[in-house]
Amino acid sequence: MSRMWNPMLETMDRAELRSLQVDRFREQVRHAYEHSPFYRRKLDAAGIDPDDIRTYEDVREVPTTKKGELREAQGGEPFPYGDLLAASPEEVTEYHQTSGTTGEPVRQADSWGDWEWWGDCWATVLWAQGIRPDDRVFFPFSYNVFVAFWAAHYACERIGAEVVPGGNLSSAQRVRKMREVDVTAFASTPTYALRLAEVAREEGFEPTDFAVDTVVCAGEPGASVPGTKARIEEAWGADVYDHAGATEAGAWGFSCDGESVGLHLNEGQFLIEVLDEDGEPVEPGETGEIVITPLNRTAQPYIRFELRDEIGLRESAAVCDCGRTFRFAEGGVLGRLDDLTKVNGVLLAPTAIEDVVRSYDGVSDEYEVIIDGHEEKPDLDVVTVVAEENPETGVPASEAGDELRKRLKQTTSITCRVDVVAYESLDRPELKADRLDDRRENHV
Amino acid sequence: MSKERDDYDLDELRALVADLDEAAAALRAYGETNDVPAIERGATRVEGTLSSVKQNVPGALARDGAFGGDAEDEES
Ligand SMILES: [Zn+2]
Repeated sequence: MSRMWNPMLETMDRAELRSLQVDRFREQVRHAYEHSPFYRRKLDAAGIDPDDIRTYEDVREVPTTKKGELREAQGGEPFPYGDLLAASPEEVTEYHQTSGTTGEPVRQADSWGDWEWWGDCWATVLWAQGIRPDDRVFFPFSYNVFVAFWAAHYACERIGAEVVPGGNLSSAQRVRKMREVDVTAFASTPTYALRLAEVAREEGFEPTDFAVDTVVCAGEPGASVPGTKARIEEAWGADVYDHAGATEAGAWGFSCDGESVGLHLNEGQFLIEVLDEDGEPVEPGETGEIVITPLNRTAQPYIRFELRDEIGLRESAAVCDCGRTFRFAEGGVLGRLDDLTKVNGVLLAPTAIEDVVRSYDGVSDEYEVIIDGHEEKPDLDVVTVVAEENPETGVPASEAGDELRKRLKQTTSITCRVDVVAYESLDRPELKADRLDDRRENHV
Repeated sequence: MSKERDDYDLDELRALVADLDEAAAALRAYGETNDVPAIERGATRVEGTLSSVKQNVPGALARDGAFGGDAEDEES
């Protein structure tokens, strides 16, 4: 059986793929221009006629779209999507929204066709990660307005795998259900995958005895953070895969079963530009920011959307043996530009702290980062990492704290205060974990 | 047949359903033979949807489709 959901697209010659993308991009821009007043204004102001888009260079003449513009447009009519909407309200069948961690949530309208497209993008992800019609996949997720697990649920259906919905259950009930029906895979945030393993042990099970052989992660970058990935693999005795997506754009990246750590870009369904600070495309081997256009959206299209995710671009053949020609983000999403923060003049990526904490078994899985002004010198930032004792290794709190402080300094160049507290003192969120608490006043 | 038509009689409706059925089965077979799950599983999904359309067209045969040869066996 094919390792790829669609080998015709996933192994397509690069020149042919580029030409296909430009054609689909033109159609997408034309649709947006003809149906969304928001895009018509933008494109008219930039003097863009969709029919003139013939080459990749033409694509870069089209103005980008920023998240702030979406929020602004959604303040207008028709409620609740504003004139971003490129379909009649009757055609909208799905409502979702962003989590709002970086501001007011953006609402996402999808038509039935869009929803089928979401399922297909997610089927690309799940098939690459080994989900097949004979799998029984559990979704330990309180089904709500967060899109990712809904789309993954329907992708399983599309693949022909059996879906076991695990909403509205406690973590203990979820673990028992997984055991009872012998699920072979589950999808969750990396944080919650670790939490479920803890709960399984509390319930008297050994998670590695479960039939689970695949864990699909979404919602946080953890499964491409080596320390976190290794912890989940060890906890469940399963292969752990990453995916990258956004409520607005869709599921645009996926790890595969090949010998690589990072994400293939789904270039069959998206035109993904990786650009430097001046908006110029970076070369393989360089790092840049993603500007993305989903290529088959009806109700709420995104034309050159500034995703604010930073990746290290590679040619697939250089890093992966799976045979895909889709380019590659080595190490996954390196940083969400919205998450980066400056501490005493040094740029800090929260994932760097995550990797240090999760790579050290003297502490448990959960942690929190507090940034505040120094008590006596308010201009000085103080980073406090709160971690928990690890009952499995029994390393004393003071010793664990010293070691963690040393490792954090080595990796982030920042001298952190480390506070190791009792096991299970910290909250264990089911959805996206907001571990960074920035309490600094006047900090932009 | 023209897209604008809205006056199909029942025989013609049945023929349209049969055309869709045939196209979906051909796509599924292509996907299977050439190992393209996106086509094979997508066509299977179309066949599933089509089976409910058939239920709403009097006299359209509930054959083949997403359930393989089972429906045919049941009819005989
Ligand atoms: Zn690969």
